[in-house]
Amino acid sequence: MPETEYPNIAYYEADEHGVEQLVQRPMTAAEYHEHQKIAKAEAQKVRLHPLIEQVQAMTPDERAELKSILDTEEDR
Amino acid sequence: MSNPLPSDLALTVIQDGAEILSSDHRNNYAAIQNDVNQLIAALSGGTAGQFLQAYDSSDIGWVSGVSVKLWDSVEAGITLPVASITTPTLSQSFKHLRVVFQAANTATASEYVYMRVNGDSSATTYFGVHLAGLIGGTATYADTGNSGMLVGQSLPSSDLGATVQEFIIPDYAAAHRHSIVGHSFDLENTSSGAMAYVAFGQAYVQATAISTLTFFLAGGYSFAAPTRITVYGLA
Repeated sequence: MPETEYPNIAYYEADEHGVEQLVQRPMTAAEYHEHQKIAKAEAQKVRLHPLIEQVQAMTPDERAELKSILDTEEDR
Repeated sequence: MSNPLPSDLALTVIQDGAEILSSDHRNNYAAIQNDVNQLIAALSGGTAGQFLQAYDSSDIGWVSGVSVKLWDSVEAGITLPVASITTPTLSQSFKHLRVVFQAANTATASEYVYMRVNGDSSATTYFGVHLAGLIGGTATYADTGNSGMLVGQSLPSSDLGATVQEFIIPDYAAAHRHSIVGHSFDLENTSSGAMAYVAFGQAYVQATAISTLTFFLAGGYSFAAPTRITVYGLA
């Protein structure tokens, strides 16, 4: 079974003379899972920000209606 | 790549035959040695990031005052696709940093571009706000509690090429908190005309100098061609 190929990352690392050299290599499994976790969390938070602001601006009636819609969706 | 300057020149041994030992030639070599040593002395004293400037036809000196390209991802030879890009350690000799970049991705939709300072992934160090100008209205959103700062958009490389964005980091080498201002533009759909111009302010609240920048995409995707990131030092 072939090994999973994770995406590359690019960064710089000092060589034995202290001169920084470009390193480009596939992520390790641990790095990949951490990257996925963080990147997805960032995306989700940013997408939710406008929604949160809209909910905060709602009247009590509008919130009640939204809650009803969400409850209905959850029951499906 | 730096090249060390010689500190002096001493022509003490002439080995190419008897004629070179005549007094005229010795005088010539002494004159060459004197001139070269004067040139070496004139070139000495520069500090990192400075440039030579002519004051008149016979005087030169080291000056600051010009902007310098510190690093460019394409010239550095970074192969795409790549999930994250970190700059080398940036020279601390300039007053401000200016970052210009265009970003494409391996996704099928636009994805946010995030940046970390000094590799810091703490979610409590980045605070920002964005104001987006969209067709038909505007939108604002806060960017807090994330492990990087939102600095722009990327587009599918198969779609519309790339977005454009730039931002300024003033006084980046100082050991205090840093504020950043920038803006971006992306055209997401030619049929619907969906596009966004975004102005943003971001803060990195650690009291430390900025030495590296790391870019990555929300959603876990990779940067694709023609992504290009260029960092300038402003004098």
